[in-house]
Amino acid sequence: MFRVVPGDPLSMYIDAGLGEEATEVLLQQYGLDKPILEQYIIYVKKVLRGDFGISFQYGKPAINVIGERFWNTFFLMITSLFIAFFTGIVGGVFLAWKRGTLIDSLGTTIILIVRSAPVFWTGMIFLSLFAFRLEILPLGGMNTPGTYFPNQLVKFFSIDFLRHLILPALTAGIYSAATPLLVMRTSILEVIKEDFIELARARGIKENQILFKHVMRNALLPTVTVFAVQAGLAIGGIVLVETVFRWPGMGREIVLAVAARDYPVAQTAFFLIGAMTVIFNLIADILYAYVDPRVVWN
Amino acid sequence: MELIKFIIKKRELFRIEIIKNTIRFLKQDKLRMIGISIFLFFLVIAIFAAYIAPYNPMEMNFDGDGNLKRLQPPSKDHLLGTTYMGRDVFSQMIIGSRIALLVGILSAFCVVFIGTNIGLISGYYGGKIDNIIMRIVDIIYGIPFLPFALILVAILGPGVKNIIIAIVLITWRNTARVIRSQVLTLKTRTFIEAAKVSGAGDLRIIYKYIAPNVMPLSMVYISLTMGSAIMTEVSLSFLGYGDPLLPSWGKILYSCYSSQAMFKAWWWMVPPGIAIILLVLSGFLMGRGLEEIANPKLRIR
Amino acid sequence: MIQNEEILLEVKNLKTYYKISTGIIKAIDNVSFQLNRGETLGLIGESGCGKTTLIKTILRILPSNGLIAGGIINYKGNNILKMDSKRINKLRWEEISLIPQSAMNSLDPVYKLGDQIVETILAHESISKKEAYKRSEKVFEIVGLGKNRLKDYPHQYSGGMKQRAVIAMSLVLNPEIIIADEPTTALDVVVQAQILSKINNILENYKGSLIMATHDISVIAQTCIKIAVMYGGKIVEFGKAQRILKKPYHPYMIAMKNAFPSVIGKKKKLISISGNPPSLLNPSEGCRFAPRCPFSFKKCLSVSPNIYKTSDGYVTCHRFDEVDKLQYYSEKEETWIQGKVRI
Repeated sequence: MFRVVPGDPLSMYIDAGLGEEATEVLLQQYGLDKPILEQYIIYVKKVLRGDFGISFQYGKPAINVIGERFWNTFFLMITSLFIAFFTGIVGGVFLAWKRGTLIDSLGTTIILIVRSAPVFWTGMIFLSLFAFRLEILPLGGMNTPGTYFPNQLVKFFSIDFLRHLILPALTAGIYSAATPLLVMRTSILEVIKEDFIELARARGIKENQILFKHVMRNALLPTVTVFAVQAGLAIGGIVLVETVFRWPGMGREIVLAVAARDYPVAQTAFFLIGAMTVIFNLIADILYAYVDPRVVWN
Repeated sequence: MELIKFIIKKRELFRIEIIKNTIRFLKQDKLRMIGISIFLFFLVIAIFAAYIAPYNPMEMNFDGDGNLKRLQPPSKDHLLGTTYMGRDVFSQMIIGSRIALLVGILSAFCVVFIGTNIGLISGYYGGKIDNIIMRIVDIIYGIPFLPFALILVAILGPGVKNIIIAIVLITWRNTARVIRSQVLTLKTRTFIEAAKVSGAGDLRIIYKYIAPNVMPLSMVYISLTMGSAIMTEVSLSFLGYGDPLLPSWGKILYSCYSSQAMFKAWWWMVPPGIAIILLVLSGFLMGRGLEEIANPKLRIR
Repeated sequence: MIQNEEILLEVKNLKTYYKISTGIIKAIDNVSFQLNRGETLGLIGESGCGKTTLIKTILRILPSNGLIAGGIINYKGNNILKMDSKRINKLRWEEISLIPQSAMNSLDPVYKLGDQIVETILAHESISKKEAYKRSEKVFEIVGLGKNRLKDYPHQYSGGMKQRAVIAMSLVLNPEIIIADEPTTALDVVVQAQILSKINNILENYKGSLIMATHDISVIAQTCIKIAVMYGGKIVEFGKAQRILKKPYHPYMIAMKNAFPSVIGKKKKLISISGNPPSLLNPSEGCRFAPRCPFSFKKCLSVSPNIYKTSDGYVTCHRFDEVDKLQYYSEKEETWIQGKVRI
């Protein structure tokens, strides 16, 4: 698919002044002189060996370029998903508890608004508020320029990193939390009316226990489903969040790579993002089967 | 002559009845009414955009002394201020509504049309056809939506048509799955068996008996898809892949962000966001389908 | 009433209402009865007559829009309605347990049966989990379910098995009173017979008291000693089952008797009552059955009938003194055709 892009890819990188022979050699080096189908097969073979090609932009193997970015995205995603999960559940329980009150109506409206707002716009608003106006958090990027870390691990747990992580993770997190939150709320309200909850009360089981052991556990079922779907979509949203916050991750990289017509990098990024999507969907299925005993393994 | 007049008269009455009933039905759900009102509001603006917008959205405006009216806050002349290039934000917003609605409505109809039909066929026939179709759906579920749309638009070239294509190619998967589940539960109902026994052909059963029962669900998905389509268009424009000729709200935000003026020019950054929120929200309110999506019964594998 | 028997449960002038958007539903309106130790009381009436509401009121598990508007429920002399939550939780299941109407939905789908029974035991007694589990094995045995079934989830049970599981659960704390709310309605006749015989079996060994709510006369006939006939939120007749089934006093019960086929005895045409149960939203002050009663006259529609004491209970009907006449005419088909002869 990438090869169909109009515009000779190498024209951006090869000086027009180079002679024809030199151009030929470079084309050969990048394998672009062979017919498309052959190119595709060679590509797949290479991928299976772990060779994703050399980046046009950076001159390094694409896998290295992406590799650096991968963990940045990974951390951002995991953090935002955690935020989303807990906000969704706690928020859902809270709104269900306050059912019918002004807080409930207000809360639901706010959640719907968050859901309807483009995630990058929310990011821009947050940046304006917290980074620009209040100046309590950095303006983007992942580290303050000039900071030095002895190794990766330390870097990811440093305060500096966390300060940079908060806004993008929060932005992505609340967006992903919106639908699960509403689902959790509805779910709780419906489960509470169920016959088995009534019988649990008749059995003399304390309200607290009923709420946590029975209501929540059952209400979580559809919530987990929805959350899984949301997580799958969140991967696409990461592209936007990373762009707004200039977070050096795979999402941002794919945007830059496509703009620069750097196939290897773009392909690799897409491939990895796709793999992550599939894995997340799989995890979601497994998680749901674990939580709901009625699901049968095939 | 008399007869024709009589028939025409009757048809008018008939229409009024239907309209009255529809309005009564819609009025029952207050939130849905709000959604519809917002939607109609934007629709009207979009239709009459050319007459409402005071300036050409792409035009750079100069003041009396010949200076570029750069990043001016809202004023009498420019209700929502100006951009870095001196363009009137208000006009951009007005004209931008056209793209939003165009992409939203067209995508929604295409997606739901395709998705519903595939869901009907897959659910009704079952067996091998169902398996193949569901395999395809599974594969499509593995494709990350935004990156895919991004790449497709990059390849085909930025433009409204291609954005719609990108949206439609992937988004039908949700509708198809849900409609299929619905069909599976309907399939076992006795009226279907009755139809079969009376010798009705497959296509007839699908379109005359089953389809009307899944229509309500399809309607919900039209509203919801509209919302997500608009969101996608805005996102793609923000990343720089919107239609280069037509102004879209996403593009406004793109310019705002890249000019680095967003911190100072709130009038440039906030209105597009609010407009998007309102329009997407109206999609959700009209559809009121959040519960349906969340229903675990629809998650049949 | 038999004087020397111990009164376990005494309900006096109980009123439970439901608040809905259009008004108040008087689900039970001035209901009184007694349950003695060792008795089996049948609550008979069509759906909507208030049986379930009565049961929920006794256990105080009404939904949020339910409101106990008056009356007393004395259990062993203590008013249930005035108990605090600690005492009520102790009362629930330890003293009074419930076999709910829909066993289908009464079990939490995400927990194994064993866990649910153990949970019930541990909520009341501080014994070890192991011991609690052993107890659950015992009750399962009593209802005829295998021990290993405790490790299964509700969806792995058939309808009849779920019913048994729920019965087992109700026995586990040896309550004084078990209330069964339509325990066999959702089952097919064969399974129904099995469950009923199981219940009778348990009753023989159990020595507790039972309240059985159902609309099915045959079920009552097989299990109960006393009957309370409910209609429109009130008890219209109360007394010994044997007598009521042979010679009911209240027109509604008379009609019921006519509506059920008997396997033995001469072949009779089934007579059904026309009309619908009354709406309990702002009900009339008169007899609730009057609109459908072939024996009703003007007074019945506007004045609430008095309670007439009988040898074994009471009945509320203005024409109780003519009961023999009513019985005579009730055997005739024409009596029950609406709009015909007024007797």
